[in-house]
Amino acid sequence: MKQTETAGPTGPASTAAPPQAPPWLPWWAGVTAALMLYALYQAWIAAPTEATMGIYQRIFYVHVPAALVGFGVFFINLMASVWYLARRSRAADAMAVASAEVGVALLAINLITGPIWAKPIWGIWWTWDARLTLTLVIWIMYVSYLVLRQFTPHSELQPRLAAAYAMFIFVAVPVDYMAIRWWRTQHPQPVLFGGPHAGLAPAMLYALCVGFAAYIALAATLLRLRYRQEQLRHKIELQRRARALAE
Amino acid sequence: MVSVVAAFSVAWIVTTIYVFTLGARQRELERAMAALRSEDAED
Amino acid sequence: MHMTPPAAPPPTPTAPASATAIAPAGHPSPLAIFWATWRRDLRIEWRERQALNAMLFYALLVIVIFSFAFEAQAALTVRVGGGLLWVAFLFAGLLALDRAFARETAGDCLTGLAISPASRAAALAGKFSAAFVLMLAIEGVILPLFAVLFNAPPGARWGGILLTAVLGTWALAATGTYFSALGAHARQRTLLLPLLLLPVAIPAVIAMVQATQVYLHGQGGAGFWLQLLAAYDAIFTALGVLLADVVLEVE
Repeated sequence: MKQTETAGPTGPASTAAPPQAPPWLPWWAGVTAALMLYALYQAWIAAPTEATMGIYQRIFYVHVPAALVGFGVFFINLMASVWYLARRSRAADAMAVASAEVGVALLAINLITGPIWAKPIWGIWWTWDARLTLTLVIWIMYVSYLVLRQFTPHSELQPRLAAAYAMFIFVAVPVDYMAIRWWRTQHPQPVLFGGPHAGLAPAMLYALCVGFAAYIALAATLLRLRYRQEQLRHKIELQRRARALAE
Repeated sequence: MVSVVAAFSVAWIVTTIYVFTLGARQRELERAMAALRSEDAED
Repeated sequence: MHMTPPAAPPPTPTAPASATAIAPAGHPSPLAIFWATWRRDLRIEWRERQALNAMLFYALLVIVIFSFAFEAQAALTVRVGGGLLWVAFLFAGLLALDRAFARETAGDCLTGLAISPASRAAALAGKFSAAFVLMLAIEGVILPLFAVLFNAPPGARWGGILLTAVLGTWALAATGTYFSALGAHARQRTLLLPLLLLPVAIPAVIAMVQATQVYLHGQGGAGFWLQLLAAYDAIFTALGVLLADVVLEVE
């Protein structure tokens, strides 16, 4: 098994070419940083203060984009897992690792900002309604996914078992997305795609869109960095194995 | 006011921590790669 | 390994015990494999009764420890009894689920199970149903003990509790068998199973506890929670059967 993996169609991976960051990466990181600062300006200064919740509503511009972009990144994890099982592509597995980690980071932002917002508005930090519970469960499940990856050997086994687990845990994500639509929750109803009574003032919607753009750019940057690292790690792994076989 | 500052700080802190872990892993990987290359040179 | 041609073990007389029990000649139907796996697992559990006894005793200990830790009274049972009961079920169930695939790796019988894609799904379903029956049997012993030690209120509706137990155990056994197969090759398999199962089980555990609570209380409806459990059962059983191939594949 090890032999087939090291001696693939392209032959043993070589250490000749040192890994190099592409020239556009600094530019892209710069654009991401600029977008994040612009989002901060929009959320703090440009967007009008909301009527009932006052200044606290401004947390919205980081809380919601972090959650929805996080869910999007978990969807990438699902797609990468399916792709891995269909094609046994190491690149897909690298994307699965990257997306699980980035998603956990984004959902962590959402889960910490939530109670900070809830305390002054609801008077409590946390409540076990469907939306809050499921979001926490999803975060725990993707941490479990990362633990599973650490507990399995770095062979063909690890990506396969991780992909199997990824398919089980993604089930909760669409249910969580629909939770505030299906059930009565303490968590407010959706303002986006939420039916005829939902909606935002144009200036608020613009600030929210900027927030989304910033988080999408951030997620893309982090995904790209982690994805390359995982591929490099795999390359080193193959090298070590080839060496062990040679000796 | 404190809550809003805290919330935005958390977002930036979590991001920064993740970027730092990425940086640490990158250095580790490059060290491993360099070790393999020097072994290649010895052979 | 996908790049190499699948090296299916020929059904020779030297094949592992499970394969000989399942496949005397040619390719047996999935249903035959299902029944054979089911019978074999339960027969092994019955033969190695000391493990079964240990699980029962363990569950009994959990209930007794809880009754000391919480000073069991009827008023308390009405409030938190459902949670205590399900924690005991869950712990005992984890032992049973861990055993389900531990014996497969020990005798290297997983290769014998993985003859064809259809047979893998059937074998996993067979192992699931064996674990399901085993867990229900353990719960059948725990439940009366719980009722006595925790002074279950007289108004409790036991029919509802039994229905919840069947649906809830189905949920734990379906996800648990799959994750037991998934973790069979991992380092520290015994530690990994709860780490994989508990997060996915949380929604089901919430529904079981809430439904049991309603029935212990003796009033109100638990229809919503039972529907949630039934939906959970349907989704994860289907996923397990569809993805059986992925975890039982031979390298």
